[in-house]
Amino acid sequence: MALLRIQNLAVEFETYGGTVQAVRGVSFEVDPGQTLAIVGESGCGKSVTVQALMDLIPRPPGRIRSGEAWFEGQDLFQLSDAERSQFRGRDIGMIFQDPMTSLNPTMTIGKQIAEPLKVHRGLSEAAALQTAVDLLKKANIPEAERRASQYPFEFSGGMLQRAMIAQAMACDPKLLIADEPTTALDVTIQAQILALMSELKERLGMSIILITHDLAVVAKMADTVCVMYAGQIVERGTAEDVFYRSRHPYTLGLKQAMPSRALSRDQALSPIPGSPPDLFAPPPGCGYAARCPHAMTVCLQQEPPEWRDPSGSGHAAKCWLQHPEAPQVEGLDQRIHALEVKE
Amino acid sequence: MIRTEQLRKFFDMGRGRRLHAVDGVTLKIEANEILGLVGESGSGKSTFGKTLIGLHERTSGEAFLGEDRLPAKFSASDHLRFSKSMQMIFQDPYASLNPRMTVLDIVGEGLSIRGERASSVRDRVADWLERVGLNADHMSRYPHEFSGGQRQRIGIARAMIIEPQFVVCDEPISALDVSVQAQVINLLDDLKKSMGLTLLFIAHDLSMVRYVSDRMAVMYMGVIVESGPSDEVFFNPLHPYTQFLIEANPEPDPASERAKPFSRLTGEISSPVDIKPGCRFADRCPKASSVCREETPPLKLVDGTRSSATRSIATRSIACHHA
Repeated sequence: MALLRIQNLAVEFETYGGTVQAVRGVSFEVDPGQTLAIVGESGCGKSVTVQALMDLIPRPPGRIRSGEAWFEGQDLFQLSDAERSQFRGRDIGMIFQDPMTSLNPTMTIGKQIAEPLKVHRGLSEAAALQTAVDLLKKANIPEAERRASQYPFEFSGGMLQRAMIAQAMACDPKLLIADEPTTALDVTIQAQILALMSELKERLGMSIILITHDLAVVAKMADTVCVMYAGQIVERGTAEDVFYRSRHPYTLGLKQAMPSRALSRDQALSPIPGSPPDLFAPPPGCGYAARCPHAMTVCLQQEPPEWRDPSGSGHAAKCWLQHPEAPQVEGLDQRIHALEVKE
Repeated sequence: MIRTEQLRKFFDMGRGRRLHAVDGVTLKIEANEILGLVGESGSGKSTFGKTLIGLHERTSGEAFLGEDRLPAKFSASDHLRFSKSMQMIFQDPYASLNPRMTVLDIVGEGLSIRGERASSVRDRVADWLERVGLNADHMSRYPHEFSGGQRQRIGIARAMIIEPQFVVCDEPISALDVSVQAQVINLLDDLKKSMGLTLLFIAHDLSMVRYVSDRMAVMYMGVIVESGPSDEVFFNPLHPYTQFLIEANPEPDPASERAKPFSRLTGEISSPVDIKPGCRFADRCPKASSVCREETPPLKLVDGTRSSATRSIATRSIACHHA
């Protein structure tokens, strides 16, 4: 059974310019011990999705218009604020993109890690601080005792991200949400942080939701992948299915926009033209149609349904090109199985 | 086209301590070549680019643009003179455009300063906005009205309108989304070909640098540890640091990524303050021996004719006692 099941989540923000429909009906599941990657570009709604889950959306201007979030038999959206905060930091830990601004600059690292232990576990100050030192050690921070009494500015970016992981792991969460955890880091430090996350996941058997824009990081970490575009999940499936048997032109476009190892200097990159749609007034059809080289008339008029692989692989794409009568597109996996429309 | 000899840029940190941001970089960029400069944050790659075109005062060493020796400290007239030939595209398209200037003023400033008539400035700005994929009637707008990718195009138009020979691109795509990165790279490539530009492409994205540049130089703590034709450096790295860097660079391919063990490189790049003799990578290098901690390895030429894939005459250099 899934550890977390998000059903039809829609989030909007009221602004002076109108209502931004940041997340437009997103559903996904995370199984125990699995890593789900949500990949997409700036503004596609990937961060807002998990912020809604963690109750981190300022309301107003934000509003969860619809949706359910089932975590261990409870719909988190039906709980009171006090009940939800019980989950946050205890059963679900979270780390953020920018560790410098996500940690309190006026509090020592040790105290910040100790905080969830005091709140959720009822540990005394001294016991919590001692546990914080142990957590820093588990996050491979050398001289953990000395480091625990330092402030964030005394840490490098990579060290801060380790400290944030230590804090998120304090109460042995069942789910770790990592929102662009390595975007601000260099590749060598990124490799260290990803290794640490994998190691902790193996050892503690937790699940991870990894939010990223980097397909290479997805390839390294993910069991399953959701590709988001303009507030919706346009393709989902196992990492192999999404990378090797892409069924949505956006996924294909993203792959082709990156320089592969085989691409030589004489071959041009294939960028995706244009930019994502305005979510103040999302287009009536497919959000990607305006940029899609294969867009048909129907794509501009009607929102595509999600076509699912009936073999139960979980591979699905929200694209009219999966319709049995759609034309063939080179490089795109279409209709290998008799696809059916999701209810 | 561009040549530096033992270029150094130190920053004074007070109490007699100095940060050796760039510590003796000798390199050449041939005409019409793209040299990729890679390295982690703090390796000195941006400082090198800025020092080269006179945005920082050089501490010591020499720099040449063609036959002209560049001054260590640019005066206002030096800037006016050399900015005709050398321009820069900056990393952050938000911070590098003045929010209170219109696109016309931003892109046309270089021409106005040189005394070009307002009507002619306007025509050329309109022309350049079209060339970088924007619209001529965008010129009365302000930077905040544009997306990151569009702003980077404005930055490119500003640099190119002067018709320079040499452009320093300092992380021009790292603030952009993947789909937009390819747009900007293709634009730079088109302009390079049509204008016969020479580029210094500073970036940390190894896959992109490999693809974009003819040659690649790897920087670590202010020094170049390896250089050579991009494909050779990328597919057959010789310096242990380059090896770790390439190994840590993930590829969008789940099968190969899962088969690959996590990088064994521990620790982080440290600040190049109070430099000790010896190799700067020695503290983190699994191959390090006593000689590495005592003697600084010079950047020396190695035979690089093994690969047939390269178009230029393959000269590779590496600074390592064990290579």
